[in-house]
Amino acid sequence: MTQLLKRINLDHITPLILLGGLSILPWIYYHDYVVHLIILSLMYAVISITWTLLGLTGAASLGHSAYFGLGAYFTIFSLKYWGLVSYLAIPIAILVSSAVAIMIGYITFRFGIAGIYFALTTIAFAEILRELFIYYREFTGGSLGVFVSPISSIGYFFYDSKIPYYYTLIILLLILYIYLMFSRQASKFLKILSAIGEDISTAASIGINILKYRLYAFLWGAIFTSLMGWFYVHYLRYVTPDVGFGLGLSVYVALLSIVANLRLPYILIASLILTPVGEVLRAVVGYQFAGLDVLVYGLLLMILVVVRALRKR
Amino acid sequence: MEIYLFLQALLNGLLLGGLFIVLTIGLNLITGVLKIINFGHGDLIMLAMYITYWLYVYTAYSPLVMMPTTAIIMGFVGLIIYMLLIKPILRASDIEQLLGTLGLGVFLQGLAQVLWKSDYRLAKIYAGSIVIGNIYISIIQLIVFVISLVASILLYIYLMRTVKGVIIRATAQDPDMSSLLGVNIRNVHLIVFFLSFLFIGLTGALLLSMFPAYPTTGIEYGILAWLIMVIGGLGSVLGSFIGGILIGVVYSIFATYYSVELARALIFVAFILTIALRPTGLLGASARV
Repeated sequence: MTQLLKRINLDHITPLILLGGLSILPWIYYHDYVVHLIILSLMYAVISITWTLLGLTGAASLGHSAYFGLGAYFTIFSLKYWGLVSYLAIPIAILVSSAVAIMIGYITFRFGIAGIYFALTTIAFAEILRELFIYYREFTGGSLGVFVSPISSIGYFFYDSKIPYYYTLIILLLILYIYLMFSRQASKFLKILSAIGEDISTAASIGINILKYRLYAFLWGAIFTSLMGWFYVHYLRYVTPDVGFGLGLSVYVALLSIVANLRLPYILIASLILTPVGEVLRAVVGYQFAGLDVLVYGLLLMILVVVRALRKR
Repeated sequence: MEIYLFLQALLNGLLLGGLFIVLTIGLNLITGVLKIINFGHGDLIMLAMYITYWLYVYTAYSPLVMMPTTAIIMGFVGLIIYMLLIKPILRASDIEQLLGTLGLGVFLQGLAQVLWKSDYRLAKIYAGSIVIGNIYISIIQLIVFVISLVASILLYIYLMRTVKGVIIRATAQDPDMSSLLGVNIRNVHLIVFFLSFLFIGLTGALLLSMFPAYPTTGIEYGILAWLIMVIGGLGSVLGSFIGGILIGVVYSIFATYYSVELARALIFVAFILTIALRPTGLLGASARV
């Protein structure tokens, strides 16, 4: 117990306090749009946190949206064509995206594809999937995407109110944070990942199996991202190849991670600030200045990188 | 009939390949000499397309006539970008360079959307086509092909035959040694950036004479340029020639016989195979310019 207390500091507690605050917010103040914004922020936070696990090892995946798309599309296939209930679609989404992640991860890490080549390869995989999903249009709805009609019965995760979605994400994030911050196993895992990121040859020389740990980190990302794809389909009830496999989502989760300086607790804060700002910019000034949110994100990314580089010198 | 279809596909592929060469060459110069990972390339081409369109609207000259103006404007844009963004991150890690230039790309997309809205801007030139036997050759495609080939060959001669070209190649091979021998690295960087952005401007004007401009059009061109560069060999100008023609022909033949989506997927598969099996590209390292 004392050891546990010793490891706790403000960083560890901040996300928990934040999530606790968010969980009582709808009781005090309820507004549909605010809840919607928070749901989106939490969703991006989950993806970005698991993206960061691989990011810690010094590999930036820019095809992360592929898992989101796979999760979303296979959920829709399960519901529409295979007649499964929502909760049975979860293992399918996870299995498919894990299989793809293991394949991509094995090919890239096995051949020592690193840095920029890794980023390009992940983009290429996401693009291949996108082209295939557009090509088989009788099954996937082509580039227009596919809708799913909500079914409210036992075993289905469709609700008219936003509250169930809201609390699902809060609980998921709480579990994720508590596991990553306080479990001994996870803390060792995170240390190993950072060690790989700091100096890959030293890490290899002290006996860390780089391939294994990078694959683990990649798999974490794939599983949680596809889970968010499943969530997205139930929440917004449609998906298009551009949302599912496009570069936008991948870049956005990378941006959140960079803004938080690759530190897990701050990603939640970054997402809770940036996502609503982006959405509001799109909604409020979207008439005259569509694209202002994209402009701000790009500017932010550039400034962060330049400031980091200047500070290092 | 069958043979005509094949020849038509082959010819279209060649013409497309010429465009791919000029699309890749600007990126290739920067990567080869500055060792900068530029993920904003596609969006810079998009900016060049919009600048051409803007000139076209205000002067009513066709994109091909305004091409030199666009190229020079983009050259100066390049110098500004070098000063503000590239210079601070010259020694940063690959990933940081990637994210920084990606930020530039995203910023330009947003800027284009704010300034010019998301509508398609079209300045397409209609010039008919030449018919030989059963094969149609679009005149505008032919002109674009000739311009891009001539420009690329001029660049190649500049790099291989002039003193400045030798200095640029020396800097690409070993910046520290060239610096010791009295080469002003910063000037070389500026020249290379200017040259590279001339080509980006050129590409933008050529593309606008055939395709519409819209804010996210650059993503596709950027990814394509990267794929061709990696397949041809990083930093190898000759690799751009071979990679560009190869990808153009393969793409065109596949798109003719199967489908456009599968042809695009095939390019990505070829890219992954190249990275896995021959990371230096077709003409890496040994044939580097």
